[in-house]
Amino acid sequence: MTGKKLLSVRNLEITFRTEGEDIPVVRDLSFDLDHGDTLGIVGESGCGKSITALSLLGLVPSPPGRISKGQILFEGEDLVQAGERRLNQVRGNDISMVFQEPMTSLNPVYTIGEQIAETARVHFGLSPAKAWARAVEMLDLVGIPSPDTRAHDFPHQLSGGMRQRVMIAIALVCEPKLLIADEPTTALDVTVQAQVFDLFQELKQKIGAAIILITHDIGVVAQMTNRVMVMYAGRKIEEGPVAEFIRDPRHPYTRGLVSCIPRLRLPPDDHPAPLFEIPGVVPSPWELNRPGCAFAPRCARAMARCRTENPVLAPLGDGRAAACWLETEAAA
Amino acid sequence: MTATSTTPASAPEAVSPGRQAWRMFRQNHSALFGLAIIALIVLASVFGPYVYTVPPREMVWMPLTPPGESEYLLGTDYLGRDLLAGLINGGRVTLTVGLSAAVLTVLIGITVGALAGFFGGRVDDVLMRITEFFQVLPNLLFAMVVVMLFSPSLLNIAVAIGVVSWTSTARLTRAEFMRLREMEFVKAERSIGAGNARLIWRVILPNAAPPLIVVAALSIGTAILFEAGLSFLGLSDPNATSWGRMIGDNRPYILDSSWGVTFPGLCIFLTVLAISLVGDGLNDAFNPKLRQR
Repeated sequence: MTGKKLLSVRNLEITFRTEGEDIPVVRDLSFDLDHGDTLGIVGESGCGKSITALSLLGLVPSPPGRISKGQILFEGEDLVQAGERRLNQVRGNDISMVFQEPMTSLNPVYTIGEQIAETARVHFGLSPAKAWARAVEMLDLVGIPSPDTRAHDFPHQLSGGMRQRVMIAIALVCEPKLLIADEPTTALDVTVQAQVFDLFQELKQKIGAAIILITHDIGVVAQMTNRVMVMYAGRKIEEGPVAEFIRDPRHPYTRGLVSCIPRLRLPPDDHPAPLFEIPGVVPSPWELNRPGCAFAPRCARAMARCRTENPVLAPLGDGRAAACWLETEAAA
Repeated sequence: MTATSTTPASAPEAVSPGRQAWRMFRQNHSALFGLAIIALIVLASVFGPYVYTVPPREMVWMPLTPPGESEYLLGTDYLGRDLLAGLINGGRVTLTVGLSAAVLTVLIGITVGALAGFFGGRVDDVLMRITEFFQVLPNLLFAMVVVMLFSPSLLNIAVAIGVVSWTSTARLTRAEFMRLREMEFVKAERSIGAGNARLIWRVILPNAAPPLIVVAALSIGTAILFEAGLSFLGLSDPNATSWGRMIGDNRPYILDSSWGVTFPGLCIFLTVLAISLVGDGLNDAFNPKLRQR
């Protein structure tokens, strides 16, 4: 079964060496992704979602970071064991990534056409003329108006939204099987965010690449993806299909996250309740070496067991799973 | 600038960083003046010997003839050699040595600095220790030893100058690379499969170019001065006349013929001044803070 998956991450552990100590920032993380599937990874800042994305491309900054355990099987090939040469083939060709910061992610000294064309030329061995034509085609695909003129522009001449479109064009020019988008719209205006997500929706159908969307915005996940995975303090704590997840979150943390979404429909008594917030902050990775659930200190329903034993991820049916003793005990 | 309208077709025209720099440079009068002097000197050195065919190394008139007292415009030196012919031919030698030494300086400096700055860690440590070793050597002394150990041919002199003067270029390149390698676009390029070689030469180096171009230009001037210094001390190719050598040769007769050292000195002064002016102009042209758009 695992052989057919596009991506299968198994027991991944990523550690960062700080002050002579290996601090894990991602622990025992496993997830799968099928061809053409879309997965949302949700979590607060510092929960390990971005570093997980980087690890898929072999880009964990090393030192101090390293993948200390586990496998990343891409079409059955373990990328953790792959050498730099092989990874360079995978990057762009099979997996590519769109980063958070469109303002600084383009090389300021080349025109955007040159940047897209260069990628096409290197990966496909196209002639310069053909690569340029391909670049213009890609700009058109990502919705840049008058692409043949715009291709001669330098990055500083474009707005943030336009730059992010160019980044998407670069990421897609080699027709990767997996596109990772790490908070692709965080740096953009709300209206531009909507445009970029519309573009993603459109491209999803056109190119058929699987997408991993990393965000802290549950609304975006609901709109964009089929499945969602919630991370907390470096672990996966819940996953499942998006619709069920939004309707009935299981882990107390995800319940909290879902209740944090402001709703426009007011309750009948017309007294809008204050927006829910989860008390406390995400524990730092140093605090995670003690036993017990990482969320227990912030959890309203924490039990004695939560502070001594780390909950295991338990399947809940319908492809859902949550790592919480409440669920395990309810099922027992 | 044209009025901005909503249609992207009439957006400001695409201006490459190079063209933008040239626009700035064009407005800098002293830099243009420097460029003109350099052009003049280069033209005179390249084509002069074909136009002014007096042999530079033969006795053509009475020794120590002052300027304007014979058909030889700038007079003659202590051996009765035509000074103007010497200057024209010496310009060739001086410029060739200066330019090749500068090229060597920049090549070594950029390579060492780029590798150290890009890879960091152990590579950086080793390369920087080597750089420091060359930095603490007394430049002139080391170059003299190199030239004396091997023969004082033009090539050896250029190599000696290059070998002792690359360290500051290396440090500058390293600093630029350390700054740029952390930039998002480098990460983005890596994420679409750019290998280290591509990242160094095609992605980071063009971004580090502006300060390096300035340093490269200035290092030509430094190299010319260095060559003059070596020649003055007698370490010059016996088969080639350079400006520095002319000063050195005429030095003992300075009381009888001030022109013998003045004219070559003036040539060196003008050349290095012109290079400095151009270097300053380049510096301003590449400075984004002075760029008005």
